[in-house]
Amino acid sequence: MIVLKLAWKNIWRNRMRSSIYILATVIGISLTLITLSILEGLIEARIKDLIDLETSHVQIHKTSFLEERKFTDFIDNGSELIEVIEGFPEVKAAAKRQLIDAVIQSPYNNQGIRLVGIDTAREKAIGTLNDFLIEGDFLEGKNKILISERTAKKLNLKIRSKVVVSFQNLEKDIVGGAFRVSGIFKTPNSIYDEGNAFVVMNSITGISELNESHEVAVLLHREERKDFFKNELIEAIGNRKGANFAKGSWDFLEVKTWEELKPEISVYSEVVKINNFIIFGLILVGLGFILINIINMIIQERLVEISVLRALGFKRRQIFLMLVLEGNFMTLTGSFIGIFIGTIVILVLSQNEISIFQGFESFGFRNEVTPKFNGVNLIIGIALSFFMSFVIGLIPAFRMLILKIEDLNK
Amino acid sequence: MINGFGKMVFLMTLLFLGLSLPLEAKDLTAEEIVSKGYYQSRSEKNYLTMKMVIIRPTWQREMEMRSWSLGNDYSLVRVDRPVKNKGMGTLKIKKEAWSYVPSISRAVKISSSQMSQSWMGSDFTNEDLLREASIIHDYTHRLLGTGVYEGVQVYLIESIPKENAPVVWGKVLSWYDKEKVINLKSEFYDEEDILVNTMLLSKVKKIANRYLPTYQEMIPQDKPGHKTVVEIKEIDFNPKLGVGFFSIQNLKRIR
Amino acid sequence: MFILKLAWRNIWRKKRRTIIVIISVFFAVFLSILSRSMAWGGYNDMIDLVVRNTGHIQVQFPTYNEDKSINKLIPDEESFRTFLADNADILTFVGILENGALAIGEKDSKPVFLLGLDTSKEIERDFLEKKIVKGTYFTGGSKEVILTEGLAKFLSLKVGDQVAFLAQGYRGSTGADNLTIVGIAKIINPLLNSQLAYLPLGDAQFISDAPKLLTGYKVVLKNHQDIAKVKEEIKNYFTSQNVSRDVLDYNELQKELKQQIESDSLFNYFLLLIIYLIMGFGILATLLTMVLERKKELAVLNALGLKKQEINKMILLEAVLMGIGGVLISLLLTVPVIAYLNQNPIPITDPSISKGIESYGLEPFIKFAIQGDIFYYQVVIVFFIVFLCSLLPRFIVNKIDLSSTLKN
Repeated sequence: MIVLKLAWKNIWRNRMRSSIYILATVIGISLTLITLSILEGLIEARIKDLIDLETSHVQIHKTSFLEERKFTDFIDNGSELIEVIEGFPEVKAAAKRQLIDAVIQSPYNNQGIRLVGIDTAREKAIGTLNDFLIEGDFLEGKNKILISERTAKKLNLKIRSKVVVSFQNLEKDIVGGAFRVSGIFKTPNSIYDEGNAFVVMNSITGISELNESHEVAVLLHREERKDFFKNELIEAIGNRKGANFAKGSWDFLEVKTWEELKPEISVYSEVVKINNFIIFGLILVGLGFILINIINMIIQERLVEISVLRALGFKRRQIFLMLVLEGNFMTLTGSFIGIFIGTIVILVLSQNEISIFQGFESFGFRNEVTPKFNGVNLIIGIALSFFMSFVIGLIPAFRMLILKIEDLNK
Repeated sequence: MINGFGKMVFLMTLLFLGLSLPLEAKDLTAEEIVSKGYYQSRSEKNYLTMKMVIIRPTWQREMEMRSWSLGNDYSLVRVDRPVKNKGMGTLKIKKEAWSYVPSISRAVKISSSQMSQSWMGSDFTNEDLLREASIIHDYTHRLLGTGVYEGVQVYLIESIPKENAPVVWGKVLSWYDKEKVINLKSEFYDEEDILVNTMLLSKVKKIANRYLPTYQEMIPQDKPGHKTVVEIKEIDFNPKLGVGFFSIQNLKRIR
Repeated sequence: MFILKLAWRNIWRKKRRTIIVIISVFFAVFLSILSRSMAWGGYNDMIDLVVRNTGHIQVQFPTYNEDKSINKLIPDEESFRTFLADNADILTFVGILENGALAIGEKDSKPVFLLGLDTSKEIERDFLEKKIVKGTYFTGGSKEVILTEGLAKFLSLKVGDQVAFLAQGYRGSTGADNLTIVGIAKIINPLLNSQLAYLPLGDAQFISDAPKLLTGYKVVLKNHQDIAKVKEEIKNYFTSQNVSRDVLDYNELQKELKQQIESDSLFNYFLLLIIYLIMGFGILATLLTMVLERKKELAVLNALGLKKQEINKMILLEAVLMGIGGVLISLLLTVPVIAYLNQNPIPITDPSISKGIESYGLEPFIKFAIQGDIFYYQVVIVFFIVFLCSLLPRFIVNKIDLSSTLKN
């Protein structure tokens, strides 16, 4: 107890030095937390956008559809498949889509595009395309089309403008229909924007002569369950293999999770997570250097004092403990203030989007980022600070331990 | 880029045919004028030779070709000039089409991925070629009045596309020769009433009791120096043709 | 001079303090250089990737890069080739012709991107030969083509088969030809891997009906640093010829690259800022403590006739000397480490991660670049921080009360 008191008092003896060290810790820890939260926000937004807009959690296609994108590779009995899928408690929403290579035309230009036939209600439940509308409304009613800002620009279109969409239907006939622009969207992913336009599936089945869909997307309540769900679904589909359908079969279906659909994104987020630990580690090592220096100085400056303490009957162990505690107090004080300030800054920043990024759009990253407060980072931060302060404090204190009384008396 | 209906009207003259009977031009309704004008220059069977000139600010290119057609469903076009492209052709049967290229001796089916691509290097896309002609079915016509165009008494007709018709235009204004009932000029507007393309037809000839403008120009409004001209050299309204003529073998063989 | 000597002596007298400062400096210099070197290692990979495709500089028809059209071609002129060949900074140059086409197999056809290459040039061979997984590089004959793996698979074609290309050519023409597949190449980028076909320039010109015409010249320099200079020389050449051409460097050809590097650097600088701050505080703490410790000594010096100004100068000199020493020692220690890492990049062994990195078209190594500016900037910044820190102690010195300090 007396050791504890002594250590605490010692910190306040050289206020300038202690406060500089504490300040360094505060700044180091808080800035690290802020940097990590920005990175985290960036990645999380990318994954969220990916899941919300493009992949959902799990998708089902005919095998080879993803590679070859053939119009004829549609899923038989899609409505029944949706029923099967919705029978799982994990499932939050499911939606089927037609994906058609089409040409979109205005009086001024034309463009090749992926026409996505959707079920409006289901699509709203499964994705957030609705949130990315910058003008107009989501698809309601027949013969409406959602196009991206890029397409609108290229074809010189506005809300209510008319476009003609043509494609090759199931009979291999080239067919076309007129659609009015009901909404214009802009997502953070420019490639996605360039290539997609949306219509209500009902409004094209008439001309496509296809009532089935090419893709079924599934959103789960919890992302972590995706692999479990995938296996369960494969089994459920397997049980129905060869079953008597009115038409077609489920023999050649392929179930993929978003990570399998977009491996590069999941890998990227893993790499960034590992990076984060490295950054944290480096910062703490840096702080460690300073702490070692400072405790070294303390020892140096207090050689006389320490020998007095020894003479007064303090054991080596106690002096050792005192020095360790001194370092710990400072590190921990700094860390907690740092975590506190960092957290507050993050919470304030996370109320707004900050705009600093450019050039990642073609990879689907947003130009704006909302820093993400992450409890895990916080806990890691606290744990690492504790650990480091101990380890760091130990080194110079250990030197103390091996100093001989005679040296001290010199 | 010339687009949609304009191109279609243009191509129809090149490729598509319908049944026609010469009508007397007296107190015609707008629908009748358009319909008569449309069927004037087409027969059930057609053979024609023509020259197409693509004009650009810094260059121009001429192509000569022959075309055969039977009803709306069958047509075949073969390129004679330039020499390098001689023998190239396109066959359309109903809603499918094939391109034939002698240098690779293959007939390639035109698929959806090529629909937005240029047809034989022209201003038309493969898609224009494949889609049904629609001037009569896809529009409602209204007679705006009469007047004089280049010294000729004309009807002025406004055509508005039906709501769900696959037509990109907001409206089309057409000038029809009152006496001969043939289209002399059309203007294509977008939905904001901005003029996008102008089509001019001239050099009217009388062949087998039909009037036929043999010289067509398509001028996009927003691209100075761009123009496409098609000139019909010869026309036969009753060639010897049967469905069997329109085959891939014939596409390759025809000389 | 006397003060300099004094400062020098003090440095050696207070070895522990000197070591502490030098360690702090080392920490900052080492980590910041390592971090920048690693970042540039990654960027260089990205730049290489781009440059291997685009060359350092390309000469094109005006606006071709913004709006690629087969009608925007330039003539392949002997006089310009001579001009390029005479430029000592240019390693090599090649004419290229790009065009979209329809690749036609036995059953299927697919829109592809044709790349007409001067197949005799070493640089093209080096680039493509490594990527060939089946068959060989061009044998020198004509009517040969190398398909990307995905494309060959889509068309169900193998080495030795014929593939036809149908393309819209120059000024509204149409061209087509049958070519023999001599090789199958695997391009890391999955999208391109099913879209690209390489063929000899002459065949590309034939298919595009563009004899003696090029999309552009791809110019590769001996030295990366000469880009601006050579660009200017080429521009001047065309100005003197009264011909209008776009002369673009790889940054202009691939605008995203620069933006990506800049965004990524932003994070990197943020990290460095934290390192600098921590190091700065460490040095500051050391210097301040030392001055506090030395109050008595300084007061004695003062009493001996040294002005406070001179004492300040001495302390500053000590810091600057330690800074210089620290930076030099750090460089001495850092350079070999970076040099070693530069020669021996760290492989990324986790297969799932390395695969992902490959899918970006990069090699699965953590690479370290040696580049002038990674040393230069870090050294300047660190030195500046040391300097700043050494300015603060003067406030303490100025406050030293001679008599009371000595009394103690």
